[in-house]
Amino acid sequence: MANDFEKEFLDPERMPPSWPWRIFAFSLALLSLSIVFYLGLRLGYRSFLGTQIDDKDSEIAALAESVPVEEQRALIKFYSQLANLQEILNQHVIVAKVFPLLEKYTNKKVYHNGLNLNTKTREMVLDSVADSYEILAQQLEAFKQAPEVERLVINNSGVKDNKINFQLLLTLKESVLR
Amino acid sequence: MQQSTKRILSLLLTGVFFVAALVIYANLIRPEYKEIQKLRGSLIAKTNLFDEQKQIISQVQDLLAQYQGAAKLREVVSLALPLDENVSSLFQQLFTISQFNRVAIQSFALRTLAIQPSGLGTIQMELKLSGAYESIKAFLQMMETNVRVMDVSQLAAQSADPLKRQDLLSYSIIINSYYQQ
Repeated sequence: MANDFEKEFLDPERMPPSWPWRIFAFSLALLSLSIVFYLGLRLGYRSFLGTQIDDKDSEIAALAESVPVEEQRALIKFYSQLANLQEILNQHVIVAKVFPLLEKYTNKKVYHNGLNLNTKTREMVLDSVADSYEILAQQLEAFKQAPEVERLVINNSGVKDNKINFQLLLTLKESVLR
Repeated sequence: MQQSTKRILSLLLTGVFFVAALVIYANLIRPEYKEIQKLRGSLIAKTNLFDEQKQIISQVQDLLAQYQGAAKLREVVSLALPLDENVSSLFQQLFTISQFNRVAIQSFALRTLAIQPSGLGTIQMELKLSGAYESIKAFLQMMETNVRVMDVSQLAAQSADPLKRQDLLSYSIIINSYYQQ
């Protein structure tokens, strides 16, 4: 058996003279190449990348320091002040606009004793006095027809000293107070 | 050493070298390559961050230049929305408006509400006033167009004497004014 193997593979006369050495040299070159490649990655490229990352970190830190912190704070404060002011002005209500509205729609034979306005709900309660129920009906119709009034409710009414006392709840349209 | 022994030895060494090369690839090169991919990713991310920051900083510097040149605007904005509560100035403004319109301040109460996350603070004032209808109307008009922003949150008005139907009215007003924290 051993003789057969020797004859087949190790007999110098039957073997091409150079191939085992070529394979040996190739494997050695492959091993050397893999070692060199690994060392190149580990010692060369990796440390190069590490240095690059450190440089970028320092550049980022230097960039952040290029604007003084105090100035950054002042700028941020000013911009939030502007944003807040814009929001406040967008929601700013002008209650004084209610008076011309009342003057326009109040019947001449009606007077208001009390007014209660909530700008958030846009609800206005009026405690009023009319000369008669006919005048009250006219007053209700006037408010009902008013385009500025979204909703009208009569809370109560009663006769006192020959006058009609009544309470109205008016819900104003959003545009009235803007 | 016989020629055949040398050949066997060289074949064995060839095998060992192949195996060693494979071991180096599997155990050293591949993990190292993964690590390097991570580092490259990190470098790319930091480079992008740096570029973005550079752009932002350049914009911030432009804004700062504008901000420093807009002293008048800052002044006006600070009058409408001051950088502190400045209650004395607020009261002074209300008092001046009331005097100008011949409205009497009967009482004045004040409280500060919680500051919003945006840094907006609110001062809530409750005023009891008395005056003629036209005076109160003018007072409200002037107050609502005052440079320091004031919003009426609630308004209650009553005739001072309903039976006599006098022009004198008493008012209760809740006003919100603001400041930047």
